Amino acid sequence: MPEAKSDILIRVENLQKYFPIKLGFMNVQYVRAVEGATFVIKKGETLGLVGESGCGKTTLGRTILRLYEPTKGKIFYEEKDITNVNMLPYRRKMQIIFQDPSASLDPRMTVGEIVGEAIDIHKLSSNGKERQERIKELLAQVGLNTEHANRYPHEFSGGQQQRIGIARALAVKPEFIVCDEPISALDVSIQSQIVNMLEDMQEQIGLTYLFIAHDLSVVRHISNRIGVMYLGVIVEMASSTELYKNPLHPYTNTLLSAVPVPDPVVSRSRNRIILEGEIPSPMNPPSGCRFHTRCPYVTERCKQEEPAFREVAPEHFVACHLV
Amino acid sequence: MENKNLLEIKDLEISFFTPVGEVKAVGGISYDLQYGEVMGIVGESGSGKSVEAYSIIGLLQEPGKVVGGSITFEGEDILSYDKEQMQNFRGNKVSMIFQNPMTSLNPVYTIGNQLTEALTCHTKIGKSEAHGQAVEMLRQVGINNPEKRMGQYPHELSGGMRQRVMIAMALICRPKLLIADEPTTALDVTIQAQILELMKEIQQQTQMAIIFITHNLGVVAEICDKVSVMYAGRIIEQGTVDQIFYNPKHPYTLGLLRSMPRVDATEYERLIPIEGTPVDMLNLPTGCHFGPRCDHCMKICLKKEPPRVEIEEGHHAKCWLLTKNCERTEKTDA
Ligand SMILES: Nc1ncnc2c1ncn2[C@@H]1O[C@H](COP(=O)(O)OP(=O)(O)OP(=O)(O)O)[C@@H](O)[C@H]1O
Ligand SMILES: Nc1ncnc2c1ncn2[C@@H]1O[C@H](COP(=O)(O)OP(=O)(O)OP(=O)(O)O)[C@@H](O)[C@H]1O
Ligand SMILES: [Mg+2]
Ligand SMILES: [Mg+2]
Repeated sequence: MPEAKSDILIRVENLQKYFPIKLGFMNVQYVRAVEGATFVIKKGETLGLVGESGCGKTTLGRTILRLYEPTKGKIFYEEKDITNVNMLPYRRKMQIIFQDPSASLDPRMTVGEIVGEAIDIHKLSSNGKERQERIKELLAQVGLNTEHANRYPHEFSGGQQQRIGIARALAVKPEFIVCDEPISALDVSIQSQIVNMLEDMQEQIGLTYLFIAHDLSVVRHISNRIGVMYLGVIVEMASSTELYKNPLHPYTNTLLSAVPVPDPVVSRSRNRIILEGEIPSPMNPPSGCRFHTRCPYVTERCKQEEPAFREVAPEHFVACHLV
Repeated sequence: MENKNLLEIKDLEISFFTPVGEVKAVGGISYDLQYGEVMGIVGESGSGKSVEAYSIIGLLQEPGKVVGGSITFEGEDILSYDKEQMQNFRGNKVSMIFQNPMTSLNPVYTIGNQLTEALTCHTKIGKSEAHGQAVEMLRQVGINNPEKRMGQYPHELSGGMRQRVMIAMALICRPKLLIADEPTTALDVTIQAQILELMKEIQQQTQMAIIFITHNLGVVAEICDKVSVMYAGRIIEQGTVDQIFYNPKHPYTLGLLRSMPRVDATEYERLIPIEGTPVDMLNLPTGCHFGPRCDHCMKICLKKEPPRVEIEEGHHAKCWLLTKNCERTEKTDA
């Protein structure tokens, strides 16, 4: 479908990221954090990414931004191969918001300086007045007011700090933002404020998000499509509705059934699939399908042959021999 | 059936005397817990959930102090216990699971050492019997190869496994009350599901009561009989899970429930957040502490603390809206 190509903002092909770990003299092993990821992110959409701790979500997000250099594979931005180019022109277009807002803000800088710094680095204002105006505008956009510009991060609550982080990311007028668990550290009552704000920004500026999170219900809410990762591999990807209605990979099923439902009647009547054992080490992942050691439906073939990530229904991809 | 309470808390007040002033972390809370009952405590971060739990088990840290009220366990006044009585109480009748398993497992002793020590310290059994019981306990919490694990140190286990060991430690003396402070918050959903199933199973077998502190309303719906909702040191609403989830009365409880994405949403629905920022415990607003963030705030809410209003049996909330003859005014911006 060549005409659809223009809709695509980001494309990764067979992306791989290994971290070398020195175990001793001449003994280097690799953490195989991301393995053979192939997918696209369309302009203006939110792609959610879920999976257990350590499965490689952050690594995948950072590798797309080339904050980590890929071990193998290719990254395209608007169909231009950026795997080996100088990233400077792209840094502005591609931003990241972190999980821990307090740790990602310099405590010695005022909020105005933090947001202003981003503007300066990319020379986005011609004079001091314009810069001041822009800072004011950005703070208003994320629901802070002008007086806040002269205060320091520690004077703010977690939710407000996350707003500052978002203002900093927006300062450079990005097109794509990796949101790495932007609400996990926040109080329940504040999480929805931030989710709504991210949605508003997307609407107003046409942003594209890669939204990484543990909380499946929030991911479902905010994402157009969702990718499910297990031990470095994307095992399933589909639209949010399709994934919830018709999950195909056994791991997706387990993950969905594990989420506690805030409804007593539903949760009393629910049958959940309890996953046995622990997630294996990414230094020494299982052969064949990486999920085979914990899969209730495992066959001989799963132990030997790695399943291909293929489109089994329109826009519904899955890597499982049994589908 | 006889309605006997295991735990009774009345008008409990706890303050921290810090250099910048008194932090009234818990400002007069009351509740009862029956034998075998599971109560969830939910609420804003900093609302006093942990501090309140620590006071029951005598682990309140300096400069925190119980400044009012009473805690009664099986008819005994806990607050009058001396150090030795408290230690006995803690091992035998009540135990606690902490949020971070590493803080409560001793890194220099093996798992087996710590489990048997807990047993021999509080009961009169011999070493080999204690060993046997410890292995059995590990098996019960779903740890495979328990004999081998007995000889391992905490750092050799994965996070989920350490949390199971913590649960084994907490349960080995068969307490009548278990206090679980965010026992699954740091875990993945799949491991959380394992741990919750396990806790339910053990609770049903042994009929111990549980106080379950969590942020996660889904977890509450799953495991609790009743719920206390806390905001700024007060229990602002309490009821059975069904009362709280299907008939919430306090605007904060309502706000919490509304702000989560609905599981049964068939199409996109925008979330409805609770506006405003969390309260500053050093400068508590006068009147209702939730007033400045409340959509229904009235004049009186900013002046006088609301009374506790009974809605139906077992269900009460602290809110002026639930009282008769209250004068409505515009929402006042804070
Ligand atoms: N800089 C690094 N050096 C070596 N190993 C790393 C590095 N960063 C991540 N890893 C490893 O790569 C794997 C994937 O980690 P990653 O942080 O991407 O997981 P994640 O899915 O984001 O987990 P979480 O949900 O806990 O944030 C893990 O095994 C991790 O230990
Ligand atoms: N050591 C301390 N010194 C001063 N104040 C303290 C101390 N420990 C707790 N507090 C205060 O007591 C209040 C209640 O704290 P607590 O830890 O019980 O909150 P919580 O409801 O458990 O929150 P969270 O959900 O974040 O665990 C807090 O607002 C905090 O300011
Ligand atoms: Mg991560
Ligand atoms: Mg706490």
